[in-house]
Amino acid sequence: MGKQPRLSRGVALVAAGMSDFGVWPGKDSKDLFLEAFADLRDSADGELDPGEIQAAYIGNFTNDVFVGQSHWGAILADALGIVPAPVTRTEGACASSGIAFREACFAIASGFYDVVLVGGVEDMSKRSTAEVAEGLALAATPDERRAGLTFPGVFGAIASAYFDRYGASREHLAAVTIKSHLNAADNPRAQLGRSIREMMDSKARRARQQGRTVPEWKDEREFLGDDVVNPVVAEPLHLFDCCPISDGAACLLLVAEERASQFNALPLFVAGIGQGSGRGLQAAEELTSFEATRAAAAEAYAMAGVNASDIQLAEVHDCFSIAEILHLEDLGFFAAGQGAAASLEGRTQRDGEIPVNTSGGLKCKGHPVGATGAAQIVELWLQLRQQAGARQVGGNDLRLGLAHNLGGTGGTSTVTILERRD
Amino acid sequence: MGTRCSCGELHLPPRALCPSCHGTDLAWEETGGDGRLVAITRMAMVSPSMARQGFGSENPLCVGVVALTAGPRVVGQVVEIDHLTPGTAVSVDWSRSCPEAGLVFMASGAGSDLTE
Repeated sequence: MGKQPRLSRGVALVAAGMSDFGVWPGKDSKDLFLEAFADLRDSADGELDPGEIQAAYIGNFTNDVFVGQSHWGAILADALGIVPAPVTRTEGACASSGIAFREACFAIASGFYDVVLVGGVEDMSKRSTAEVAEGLALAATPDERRAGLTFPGVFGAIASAYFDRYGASREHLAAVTIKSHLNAADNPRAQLGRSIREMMDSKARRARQQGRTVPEWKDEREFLGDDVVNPVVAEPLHLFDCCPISDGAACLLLVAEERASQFNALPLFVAGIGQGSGRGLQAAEELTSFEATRAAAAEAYAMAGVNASDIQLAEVHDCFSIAEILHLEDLGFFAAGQGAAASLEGRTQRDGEIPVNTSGGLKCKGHPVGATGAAQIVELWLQLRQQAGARQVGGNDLRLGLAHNLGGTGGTSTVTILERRD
Repeated sequence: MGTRCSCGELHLPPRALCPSCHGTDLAWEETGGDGRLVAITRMAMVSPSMARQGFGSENPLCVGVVALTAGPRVVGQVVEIDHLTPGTAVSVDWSRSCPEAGLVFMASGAGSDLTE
């Protein structure tokens, strides 16, 4: 990139909210989005008048296929009562709301709008697991799809290449999974809000009650190594390496920097944004790194004028355990090949040098695909404002957080850096 | 068949525009079907369409990324190999490859008549 990327007008985040993530048979996308919007209204100072919203950008990937309904921009404009404000749906597979965020930043920076809503929603659980896997695979490349790959298959193949190149093993993946569950246990909105230890204890308790042989796992790693409780999905990935199928929504209110204090006494500021594209398994430069992420990160770091070592916490796109390891490297937190060892050594835990996915990540908070990018930013909002409760990262000088959203086989990636400036 | 650009780059599948130099001076070129696995997965959970073809937990679907000896990488199903690891030499099984399934690979030397 030739010149220093910058926004021609500053953008502030002044409110953020999300629905509970989970399997919600009785809720549709409108219900979920309104739940997130109610949470967002609670997060602003004073009464937030939806009539102030001048435009919205909302990410959604699969509703056309999974619930047979398209055109969610207009439906949600009506539900929110903001008609005739323009609402644009963005689609970039699982990075759909990461894209929405960036487009909203441009809309404000250009001077055209002052107050823009960003969000994402996905309603996935009304279909079977196999149908969801096939639907999500619409975002794989034509070559990958013809061979029958689903995303567990894509990331299974990537894991095999990573293991072969760097000598990592399932033990490293297990460290990521154990951490995700530990973090999610402290997140009341998470879909899988239990630690692996709690799950082991509850399985043992049930076996005892039912008079069955009580399983004896030495520790969490032994539990994850048990193919009965943790069956293979796409080698070397097992069930606990994969995120669940989720329903959920998240939304964010972005405003021109000079309007921030009108909405919130403690706003966050958009320090850097970046987006990149990449190619599938057959054409990517490497199988163990996503060029889209490297490009998006380089752009966001340059805009913010910071390096990876300045970032104090990150939400990264851990759709699979191996994905988190790759992203740690592509975002520059650890050198290529070092992400696995760093995870095993606890360096990404809540009390580690770079806390990663304190929300529980996609793996345990849940992954309603179109909502994920916005929900990652909700976690940064809570952490940077010291409102994350039991999972709050320690130290009271948290200022810089990063969110990383990925779509497809690294076909799209966005990186957002938020800053607290008070 | 792939395409070779005048800049020297070989593409598979064939392209109409070279992504490296953006040129359109391309010629057809045989790539051959030999290569080695660089990534591999064995899928116990498959999509409904692959399940209709008989794949699933009892008959896992193996899909690999193959670096062809000619250079390009391709994605394809892999059949009849016991120990699937990156580095394994494979060749296209032309009798099983078809437009619907794409390329299907087997261990090099396991050979159907067509490859010998």
